[in-house]
Amino acid sequence: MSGHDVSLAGLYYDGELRGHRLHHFEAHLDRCPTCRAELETLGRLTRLLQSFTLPSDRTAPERFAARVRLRLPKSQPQPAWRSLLRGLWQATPALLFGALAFGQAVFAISGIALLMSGLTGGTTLLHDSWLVRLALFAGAVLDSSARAVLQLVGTLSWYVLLNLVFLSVIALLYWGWLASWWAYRRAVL
Amino acid sequence: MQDELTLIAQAQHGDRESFGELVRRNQEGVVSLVYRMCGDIELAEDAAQEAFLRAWQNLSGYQPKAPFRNWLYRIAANVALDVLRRERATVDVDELPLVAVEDSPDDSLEMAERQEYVRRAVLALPTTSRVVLLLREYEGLSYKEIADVLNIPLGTVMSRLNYARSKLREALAPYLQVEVE
Repeated sequence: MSGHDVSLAGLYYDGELRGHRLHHFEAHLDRCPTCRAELETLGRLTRLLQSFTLPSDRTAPERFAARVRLRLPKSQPQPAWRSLLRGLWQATPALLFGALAFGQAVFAISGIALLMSGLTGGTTLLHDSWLVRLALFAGAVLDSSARAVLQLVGTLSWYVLLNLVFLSVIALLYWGWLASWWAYRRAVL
Repeated sequence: MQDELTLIAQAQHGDRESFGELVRRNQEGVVSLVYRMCGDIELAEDAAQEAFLRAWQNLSGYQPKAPFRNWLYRIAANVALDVLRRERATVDVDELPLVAVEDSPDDSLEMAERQEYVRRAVLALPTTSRVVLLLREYEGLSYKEIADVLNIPLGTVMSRLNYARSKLREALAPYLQVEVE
């Protein structure tokens, strides 16, 4: 170590240097008057700051504590329901993640089943999809294979839309939770 | 004398006596922090009371992983920042009231002047740097504890502390040199 890193002197002064950095700095300090002077200045600054004391006309501790006790609300904190609510609130991200995983599994399995059914010519779909109805409305003549493809694509599009809505709701709830967490950290504590 | 954890547990079950004892034990640190933040003892004591009321209301959420004192400092720092936002006038250090300095035969006018100079230099710091400096220099918290109390990264603690100290060294340069001589 050859330079005079003021921040290192500050870290050393505050007892924040550990391990090899501490040993290196102490070795450096032995042969560096600049860093020693820096430490002395920090010490003088600390001593000087101690003159910023509380004024003599402040309230005595007992009196202060009595005033606070008088201002305490009549109703006591309710640890039981508060801790239950806090537990639920803290578990919210895990619950949302669980809901997300479950929802995606349901969508994936039903989507695969639908796809397999469509590809193998199954007849699981009782009604024409919106895409088939649209094509018919436009006057298209559909043979059975074209109809099956439109039927499959139309039904799958509903699944995708539903999935997007589901994801949006989960994301919205998660962002809401994050916002409440931030507000709690900032305002209450 | 009951230990702090017992008092906290009792207060968490609504024991006002125990909470009063916690207030009595911690009031000095909390009032000091808020006073050095806003520079007005009346304002500081009101804000400190407000901080303790918030602590009472949220006591069930306190977990003894961190020292109770640091938890109170977090609340007090937020209350002090709220007070400073509301009472912007007090930020103007030139308008702050002069403080009553305890008289003693050894107290010289020069010493009183120096105290006032130091007070104004500290109060002239930006609030974000000031609170870090106060927690380090007066309350003796480690960087990690300060980061936890203020909910800021460790690097930010270091940079704000360095900034505050460099500003104070500029402002207090005459007094720092006097001490050398």
